[in-house]
Amino acid sequence: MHIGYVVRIIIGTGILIALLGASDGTEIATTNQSPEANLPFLFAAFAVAWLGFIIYAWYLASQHSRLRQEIANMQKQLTDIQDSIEN
Amino acid sequence: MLLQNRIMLGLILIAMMSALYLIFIMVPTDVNLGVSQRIFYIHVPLAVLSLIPPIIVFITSILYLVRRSPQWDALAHSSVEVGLLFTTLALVTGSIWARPTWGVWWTWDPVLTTFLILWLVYLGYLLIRSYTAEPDKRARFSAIVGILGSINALAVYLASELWRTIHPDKVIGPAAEENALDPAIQLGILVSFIAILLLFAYTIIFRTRLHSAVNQIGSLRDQIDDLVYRISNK
Repeated sequence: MHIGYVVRIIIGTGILIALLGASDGTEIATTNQSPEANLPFLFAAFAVAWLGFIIYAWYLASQHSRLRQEIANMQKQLTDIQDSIEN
Repeated sequence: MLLQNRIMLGLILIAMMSALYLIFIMVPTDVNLGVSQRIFYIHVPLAVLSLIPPIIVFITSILYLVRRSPQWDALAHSSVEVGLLFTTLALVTGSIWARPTWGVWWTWDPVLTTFLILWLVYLGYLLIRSYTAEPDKRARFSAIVGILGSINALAVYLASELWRTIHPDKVIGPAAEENALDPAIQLGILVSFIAILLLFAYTIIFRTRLHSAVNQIGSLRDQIDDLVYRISNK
């Protein structure tokens, strides 16, 4: 996927989150009643962080394998051309 | 896979497992914030490490403009990409932590706002790269944006000193108060920080290697074009 599309998706999501969650500060209050009441938030934070790392690692790995394949193809092409010149 | 890659991944795995053990088993639950306080162990390292790429970008961009060596541009680009990941995750985990603690997902606090600007700077840098086709011009424009954008990181760092903020004070690093944290919490945050720092370093190194592969492809293409030209002119 082109980086421009990724950037546009991130900007759109960011603006949406900022608009939905925007506050002038007057709503600020602690909402937890019991220590375990916020367990879903803890789960969500760790899940998002790990998901972010995994998606980025997957993106890097796929780029790496694509580039490696491309290098192998070009090296073969180069050898073929050199052989054809020598012969 | 290279031996150094295996060692690095092994270290990351050990550090991550140790951090998870400390975060979920060893450290005490906060009396006021409950279990959501444990988000601290992932949010703080992500936020602190988000301020490292601007330093790398500032130095490497200046080096690129002075020496015009593509390796500095590659390192700057890799740092920004990893920086965008870390900034995004720090913003999201911070927002998730803010909801049960402050009662809102987001507030226009100086620390949060300057951090959001840093995120937008990273996006701007990547947009400029993606829309500039000519490699030399792309690297030059990116270096200028990188140098100017890096200055914002200083605003993020100094935001809590310069303006009134509801964001907690620094608890780690040179500006933190002494004994600001319980020893168990200190150990938890230290191990978590080391684990995420290793991951940060590894992703930047790996991303820079991809740049080298792209350069290698460019060089092979030039060689092939040169040979094809020689054959056609025989």
